[in-house]
Amino acid sequence: MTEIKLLQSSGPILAVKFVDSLLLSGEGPHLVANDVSTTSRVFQKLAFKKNKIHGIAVSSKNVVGLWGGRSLAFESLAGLLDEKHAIEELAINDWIVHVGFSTDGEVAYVLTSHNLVLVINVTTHKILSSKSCGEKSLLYSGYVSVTGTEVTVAAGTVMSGIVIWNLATETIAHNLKGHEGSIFGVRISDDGKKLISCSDDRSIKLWDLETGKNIATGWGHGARIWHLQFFQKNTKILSTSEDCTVRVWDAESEDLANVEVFNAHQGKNAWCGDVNEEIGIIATGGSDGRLRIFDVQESKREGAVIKQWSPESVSDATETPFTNNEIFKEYVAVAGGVVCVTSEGSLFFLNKELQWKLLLKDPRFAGFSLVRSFEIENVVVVTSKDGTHLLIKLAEDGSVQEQKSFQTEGLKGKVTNVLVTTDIDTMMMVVESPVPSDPFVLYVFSSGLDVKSTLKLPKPDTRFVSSSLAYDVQNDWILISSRYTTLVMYELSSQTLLHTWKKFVPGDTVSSVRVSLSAKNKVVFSVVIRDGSYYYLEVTNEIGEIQSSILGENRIQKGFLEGMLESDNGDILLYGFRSSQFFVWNETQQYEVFTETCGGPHRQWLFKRLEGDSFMFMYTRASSINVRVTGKFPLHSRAINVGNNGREIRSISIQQKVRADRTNLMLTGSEDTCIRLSVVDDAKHIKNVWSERKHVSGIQKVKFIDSNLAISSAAREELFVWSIDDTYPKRPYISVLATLAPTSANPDLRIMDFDTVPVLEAEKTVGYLLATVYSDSAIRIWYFDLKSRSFKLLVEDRYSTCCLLDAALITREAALYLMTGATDGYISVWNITEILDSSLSVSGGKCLLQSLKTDASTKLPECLVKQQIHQSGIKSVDIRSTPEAVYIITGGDDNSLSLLRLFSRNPSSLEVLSLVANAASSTITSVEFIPDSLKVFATSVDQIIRIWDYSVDDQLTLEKKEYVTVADTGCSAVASIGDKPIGFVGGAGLSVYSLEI
Amino acid sequence: MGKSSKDKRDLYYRKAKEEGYRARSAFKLLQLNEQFQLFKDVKRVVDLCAAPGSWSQVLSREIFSRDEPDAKIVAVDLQPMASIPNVTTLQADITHPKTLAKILEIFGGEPADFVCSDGAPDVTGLHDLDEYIQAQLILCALQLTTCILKPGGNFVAKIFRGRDIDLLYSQLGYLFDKVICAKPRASRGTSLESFIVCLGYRPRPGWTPTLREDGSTEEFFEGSGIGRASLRDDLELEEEERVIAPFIACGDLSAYDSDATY
Ligand SMILES: C[S@@+](CC[C@H](N)C(=O)[O-])C[C@H]1O[C@@H](n2cnc3c(N)ncnc32)[C@H](O)[C@@H]1O
Repeated sequence: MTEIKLLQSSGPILAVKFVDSLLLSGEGPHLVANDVSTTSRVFQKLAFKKNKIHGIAVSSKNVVGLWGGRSLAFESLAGLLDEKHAIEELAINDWIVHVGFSTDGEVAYVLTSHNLVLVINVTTHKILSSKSCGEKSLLYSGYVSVTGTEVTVAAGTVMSGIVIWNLATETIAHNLKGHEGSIFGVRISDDGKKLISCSDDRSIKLWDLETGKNIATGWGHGARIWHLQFFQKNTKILSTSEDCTVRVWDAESEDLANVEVFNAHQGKNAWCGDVNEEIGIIATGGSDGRLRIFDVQESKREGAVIKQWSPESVSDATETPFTNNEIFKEYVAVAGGVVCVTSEGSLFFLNKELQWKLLLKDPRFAGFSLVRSFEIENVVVVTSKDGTHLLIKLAEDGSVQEQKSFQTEGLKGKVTNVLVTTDIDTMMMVVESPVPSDPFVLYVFSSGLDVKSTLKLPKPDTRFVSSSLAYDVQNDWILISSRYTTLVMYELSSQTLLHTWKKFVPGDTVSSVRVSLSAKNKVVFSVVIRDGSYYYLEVTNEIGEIQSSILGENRIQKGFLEGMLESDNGDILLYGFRSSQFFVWNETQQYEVFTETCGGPHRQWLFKRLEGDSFMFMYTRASSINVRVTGKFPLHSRAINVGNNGREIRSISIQQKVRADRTNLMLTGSEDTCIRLSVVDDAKHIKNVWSERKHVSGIQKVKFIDSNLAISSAAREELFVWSIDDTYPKRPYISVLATLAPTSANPDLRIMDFDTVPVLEAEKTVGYLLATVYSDSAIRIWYFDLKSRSFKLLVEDRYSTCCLLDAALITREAALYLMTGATDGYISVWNITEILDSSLSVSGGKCLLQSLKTDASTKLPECLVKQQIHQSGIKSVDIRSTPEAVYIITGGDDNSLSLLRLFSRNPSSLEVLSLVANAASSTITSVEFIPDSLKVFATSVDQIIRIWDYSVDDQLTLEKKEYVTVADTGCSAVASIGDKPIGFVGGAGLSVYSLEI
Repeated sequence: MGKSSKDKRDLYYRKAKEEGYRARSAFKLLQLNEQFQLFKDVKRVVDLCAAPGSWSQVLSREIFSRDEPDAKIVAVDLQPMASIPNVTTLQADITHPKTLAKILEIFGGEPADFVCSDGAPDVTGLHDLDEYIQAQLILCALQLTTCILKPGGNFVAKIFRGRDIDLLYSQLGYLFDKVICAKPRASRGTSLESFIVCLGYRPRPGWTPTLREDGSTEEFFEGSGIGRASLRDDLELEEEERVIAPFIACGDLSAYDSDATY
């Protein structure tokens, strides 16, 4: 018996609500509950057969009301927590906008999109009455407010006004006008006195419900606002928007001042929110399938600090007079706190209790000084322009235990930079002067602050301004980074320059380098470029000479990067600046962890990650030192659910090869331009590893073409070959192997589809034949050479004038064919063996490299087959080759499905074996042969997935269909992982199914 | 519908300019007509969601070329429209019962031969809501149609084929002889836009469509027997009927493909 079973799903979260110790969320048609403090999932229950949960309300009797579309449910919290209890789906006959409960919880008020309220008994589900104020226009939003026995309805209309009416009397109290455009959100305060509203005009308005006057209007959001809520005794307003930000507004200020902005979600849309007043947190849900938690009472957390000191206040606190122009300069972290130097050479210590102390004053360091620290050893080193160094060892309480001075001799130039090792036990310091013939002078210090050894490292023969360094103990390699994206590596003890990377990637300053992985003769360095990109550079010395390659790479969307660190669970955190803010970004999970508005990057600053996921950021602004420590975050995590892109997934590809830990790799391409590399585990949980930002347009297709290679295509003629390195147990890495150059200067055509065939030489794959089809009907076949990473155009032609949608390369025993599907509904096949014979030959079903001497590309030969299969576009095609024939399954925009067979009768016959006209009620977007079966998996925009069987006389018969909550159902991938085929369905979300066939 | 560079290269956009049509939508109606002969013997038309008015232009040229004395075209839209010869324009919201009453008034008790609606609301991105609003727009157009269309007359409306489109196909099936999902070549292949072409209006026996100014569309269709979900006293979930309408691609397939420009 064929069964389709849902294993996992991720998609837009449209409703959230805190109840007791739980955070409830509406995830598609499922009601999910997470424990608030541990953020672990308590239950997931199906609420509605098809409709998504749009709203959650809780009565005074702890009965949870759920609604979505015209579906409704009332369940006690106890019932929801009972594993065996199923939710009973109820329904009315129209779209539900909001549900409110009476004060005693006996009755529910269901507001419809036509401004009608059904009064329903919560227990018996009987409709007690139906109320209306006579104004039945269409509503996009509404709110039923219950204060005591008074029930007021706020109806947000499509035509700009908000109608306020009294339920009992069914009379209109006010018609609030002032917004422009449809009203998307209304909320009444719990005392019934005020109302907040938002509309298409992107403003938030606060109204007095007694007078009907608009008290204040707030601006800030860049797109539609979806959710509004009062909190903190109606003094604050929460809003969530399509612009993915979540904001807090001051309800008591004249112009609704925007006091907080959180970058909450990815892609488009932060749909909903709720506040837990007791803990002081906000939870929001977005299109990216995740729940975000924000702290609105950070200052109250254990260990939280927000403080500011002017030079005067430090001077007073330490009873140290400052001179007129004395200002704070650099500061560094030490074990017990922070050490800061002033422009007059005074060194101050700030301890964890926020007390200042003067350490010493040394006029040698007035004017210009460089301060660095060895945090673990609690040692500070101050350096002057002429090479005088002062090493200071501090005790935990900040008292000076030891001081030693020494001089750097023999440099022709002044000292312009000092770099220290920061994360291992050896104290090493590199001194640099700008003179090219001056070497880098490297000192190794003993714990007693004596210079144990002095080494001289010759500078590389290229422009060099040092910026950071990394030292690998195992191989004794030291890597120094510079501006001009230049790096130099030495074997330390022999003072030998091993390798220079000169402008190895685009950009300028390398802001940080670190050792990410170390093995004998192999180191992976993480290299962060200030412009916003980062790389994993794999350096090896296996064959007696230094070789290197880019293992992984990516860039951030916006901003400047200062560095990277790894959190305890292996997540990669990036930090830097974006306009006037400092940010910390979880790159693995794709969410923002911390921001501080500090005025921008051009200032002194210090960032530290502290225990328990808390952060310290210190910075100088307008001559004052500011410190912010976030303290202990009240919940276990800032983001719940792995989530997805937040924009539609357009292509999915599963790596069939099972990894050592029984997981599989998956690639997805989205409308948001990202290519995501994820790991799918045994239970089909999907964990994101990388979110690559290489494309600048929405993805058309992404496919694994081999076990460690993939290709992605998009608009603007973008096509990238990706290399996946899965040899490291920590995580797979992905980098761009090659870029296909566009054919024109201003490309804007989409590469709609592509297919590849490996090309062998002496039994080894040396390249790939790549067929690409374009939206302007162009067909191009390339040879991609692995060694040179270059593309050679072999065939260039045009189908006709219409957009091509599908491409396939079919290899037979001694021939190669190209097949295309187009928007005109035609399947076309060409035999391309001959036209390619100077480059490759086909033998035993494999393509063998001949030579690549031919210069010019050729055109396609006469078409072998050109047959209309569909009335309009052929949206998807899959091929199954058997020794006797080639089977083709096609899905069309015209709702129909066809099974075709090529070559069974004669070389140019395409037989239509089976054609199902109404195979779906909307466009079929993806079709695939299910491995090891005579069945087909079809996905369509009607949100139904279907399994078709063709084992009987090659006739397609429907075996099973299943509703899928993913809207804009656009792509799928079927993989045989484990013992059952697994179907992945993508669109506005991602659902995973096991197919028992 | 802004004039992006994508539009400027689109042949239909240029053709519209050449032939004096205000929008490329004109070719969608022309292609639908080619397939279904929608203009045959048509004298009185209601063009809903008509702005900027290219469908009314097409209708005006067609009808008034035949020298029909009783001919009448009423075009309704939220946006104002520049005047079109022989067309009465009305700036109003079609979801408002008042608007529908006004249109009936303009027709002065006479039935219409053809009702069309090219309406599309601004997409919000909340799929369920977008589908619902689109369905409501079509329902309002249908509401008017049942009040004004002559038996045997035709109704065309823009649809977005999504999850619940087959609910609509089923409901329309109760009111018309034939319900077809038609996609003109002028509609972009990659868009979900198509048109329901409902041929041969058959008023429901035992149901008199009554427009009430304070009534909702749900209330209007109560008792029509077209299979819309009813409000059950115990709130029981009723499965609604679904039917897949046949799909017909209209217009010459070798004709211009708007998907090929970007
Ligand atoms: C695609 S345009 C129609 C183009 C038109 N058929 C032509 O040929 O020029 C869609 C129109 O629907 C209108 N519309 C959307 N909702 C409406 C409503 N509730 N009432 C009236 N017009 C509406 C919009 O103002 C917009 O002008």
